[in-house]
Amino acid sequence: MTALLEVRGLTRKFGQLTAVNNASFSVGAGEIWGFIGPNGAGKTTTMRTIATLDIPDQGDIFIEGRSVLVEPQRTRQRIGFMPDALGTYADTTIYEYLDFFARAVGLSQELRPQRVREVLSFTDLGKLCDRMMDSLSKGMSQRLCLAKTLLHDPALLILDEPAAGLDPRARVEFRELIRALASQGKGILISSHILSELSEVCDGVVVIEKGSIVREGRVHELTKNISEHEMLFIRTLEPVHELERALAEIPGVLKTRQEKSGMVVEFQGEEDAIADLLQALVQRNLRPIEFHWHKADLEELFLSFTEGNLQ
Amino acid sequence: MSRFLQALDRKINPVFVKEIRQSLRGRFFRTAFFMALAAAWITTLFVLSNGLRNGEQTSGQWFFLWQHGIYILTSFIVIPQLANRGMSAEREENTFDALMISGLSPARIVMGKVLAASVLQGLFLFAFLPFLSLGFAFFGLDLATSLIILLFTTVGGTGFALFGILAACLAKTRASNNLMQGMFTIGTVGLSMSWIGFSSAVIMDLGLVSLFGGELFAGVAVTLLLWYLFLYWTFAFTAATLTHPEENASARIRFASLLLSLAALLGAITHLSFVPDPEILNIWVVSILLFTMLTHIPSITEEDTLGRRALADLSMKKWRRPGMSLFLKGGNRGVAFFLLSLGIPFLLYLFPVSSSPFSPSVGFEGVIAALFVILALTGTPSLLSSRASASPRRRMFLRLFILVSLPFISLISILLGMGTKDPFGFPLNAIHLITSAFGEEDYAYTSGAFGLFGIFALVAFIGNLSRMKKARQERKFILRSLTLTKQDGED
Ligand SMILES: Nc1ncnc2c1ncn2[C@@H]1O[C@H](COP(=O)(O)OP(=O)(O)OP(=O)(O)O)[C@@H](O)[C@H]1O
Ligand SMILES: [Mg+2]
Repeated sequence: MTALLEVRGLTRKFGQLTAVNNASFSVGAGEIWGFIGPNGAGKTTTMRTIATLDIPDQGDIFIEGRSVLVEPQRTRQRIGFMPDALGTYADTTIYEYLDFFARAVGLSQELRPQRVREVLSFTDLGKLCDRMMDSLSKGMSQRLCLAKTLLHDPALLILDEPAAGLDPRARVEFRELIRALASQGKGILISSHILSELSEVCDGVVVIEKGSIVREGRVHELTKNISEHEMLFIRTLEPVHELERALAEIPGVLKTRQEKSGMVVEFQGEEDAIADLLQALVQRNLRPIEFHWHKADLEELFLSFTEGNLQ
Repeated sequence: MSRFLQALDRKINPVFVKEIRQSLRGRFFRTAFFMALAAAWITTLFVLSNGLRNGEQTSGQWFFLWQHGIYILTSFIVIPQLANRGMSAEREENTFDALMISGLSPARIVMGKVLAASVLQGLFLFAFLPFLSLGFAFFGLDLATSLIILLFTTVGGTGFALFGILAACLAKTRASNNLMQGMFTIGTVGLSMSWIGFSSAVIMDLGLVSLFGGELFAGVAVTLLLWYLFLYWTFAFTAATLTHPEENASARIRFASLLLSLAALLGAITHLSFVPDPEILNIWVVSILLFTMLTHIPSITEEDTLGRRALADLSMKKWRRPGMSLFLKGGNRGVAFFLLSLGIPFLLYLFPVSSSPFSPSVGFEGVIAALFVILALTGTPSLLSSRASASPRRRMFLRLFILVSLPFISLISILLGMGTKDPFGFPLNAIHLITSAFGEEDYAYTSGAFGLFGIFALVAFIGNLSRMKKARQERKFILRSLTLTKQDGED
């Protein structure tokens, strides 16, 4: 089966600067993939190229097996691209704005009002439909932008930093929207700097730095790879420094670092060695109240895969 | 009935709807509209109070000229500015990308904007008609003449709106957009001034119809047809510019030179309507011809992927209209554009000069010499730069060469001829060749330079034509392979 989106050997240069360098990855239907990397890594460039807004110097992109370069018009019907900034039309209401794009994608007179109302209610903008576009707050603009992107019911969504500028509540709601869309079978590629945001919803991530893909895969596989050793999280009622001192004396403990009010421990040993570790702590008069596997999150992944150099 | 409405709804251009709505709500249009109407009223009151007192025969003409002058300003400046702003706002407000992937084809986007401009123009015309027709109440006005002039003004306004859109499409950054806008405004102000001058001359010089009879109407029809063709090609060029923004660098220079040629054309018409002299006509033809040198700038972006994308566009039906595909990357639009702009100065020969409208007479050798020189000096480098082996650096050099070749070659000729009796007449002095062809001496034909430039011109011309033929063959070949891969995909 062909993947919904397949990027193959994508290269884009701006003069001397190689913004994207031989990037390859794919996204399947019903999947949510995060696209992460430092500022200037080439995320927006890649996404714009997928959306037919830019032309690669080398490589090609396939949507459902069809080349984006050869069939740009078809691509535009199949994907919805949400840019990082919504452009606003002067003297236009939200409803008129959506109606314009609904006309543009060729929705007929009977279907149009219904479809516009659907996306308005999906993004919870129904009450604002007579507001002028240029009077919207950042969060409302993001919603409107998403509504516009969904008008033609695309199979693949390319979202460039959609959660930027949303308040915490809106962010949670946005996450629900994304999940709902994926459950409808849409493939979603979403770039964001707010990694905690992504780790909740993503099936996989693509990590890009200085134009090159440094890691790519499903979240659970990547987090497994991040370290060959067991990662544990321990919290005791006693102050952290006491726990730290105790851990330093216990064999098998390779690395420790503080996180929240406990310690993340990189530990070498089988399960009975781990049980021994807990026992050793208790023997040292420490009272553990949290002791569990530490799930590495995207933030850690990101930090361990990228070097943080700006391009 | 509802079936009809549905069909209409499907046909209607969304960009047109949006543009009309925004313009009518926007401040710019409303201000311009009310200011124009106020000007019309003031003029009316002024002429009424003066003209009725004098009771002169010509007061109708004066009245019409004033009103028409205001109408020209709105048609040539306000409407094109509106169109230009409508397009450049898309880029400034970040809506350009959304528009490009909205599912609307570039041709439809441009068409929607042009249609909106013409409807707004229609509003102006509608508002001005009562004032303009008042002119008849004051006598001294020839109906046919004034209607023809009015028609040209209206058609011209819509056409320049298309130019405004093109100018906005060519600008990619804010800075270049400001530059473009400034240039465009200067161009349209110049155009309206010369058109006011020309139309005044024609209206005061009553009785065009009785002077030329049927020939006048034939001339009007031919001019309209040429204008339509010209707009058709400009339209194709604009749409192609939206699809291939990478081409902008050379396109911008071509556009600038085209605008210059057009403004010069109107300047020439104004000049000739006051001084109908065939020699002056030929001098104008030569000067406008010189502008076309700029349009032959070869493009320096020829990436593999660009070609692929262009061919993908070609595979879409909308480009299968006559002449359109010439303006795409795969279709050699540089050459097509050059030929088009080469035609502009020769439009002047449609203009009646002295007794016999179609006799070029004095100085026609100068025109031929200029044509040879220009074809030789621009066609040859362009041909060289189109070869597959030409590196970007070499293309850059050839491009520069086109810009400076004429004065450069003439200067070298003068330097070489320093020791001789007549340094300016030394062979290969292109400027001298052209200017002397206007004089009495037979220098033009005897110097040998005429022949030499002629040979180069011929070679370059034929070479460029065969280049177009080759491009067409390549296109056919790739189109065929495109349809093949499509069928593979279907299986
Ligand atoms: N039109 C352009 N011309 C020249 N350079 C560009 C252009 N667009 C992007 N770049 C450069 O390409 C590189 C990648 O940019 P891109 O916008 O793709 O990064 P990004 O990953 O989206 O960054 P951010 O997280 O800040 O949004 C940057 O160094 C940028 O300066
Ligand atoms: Mg970005």
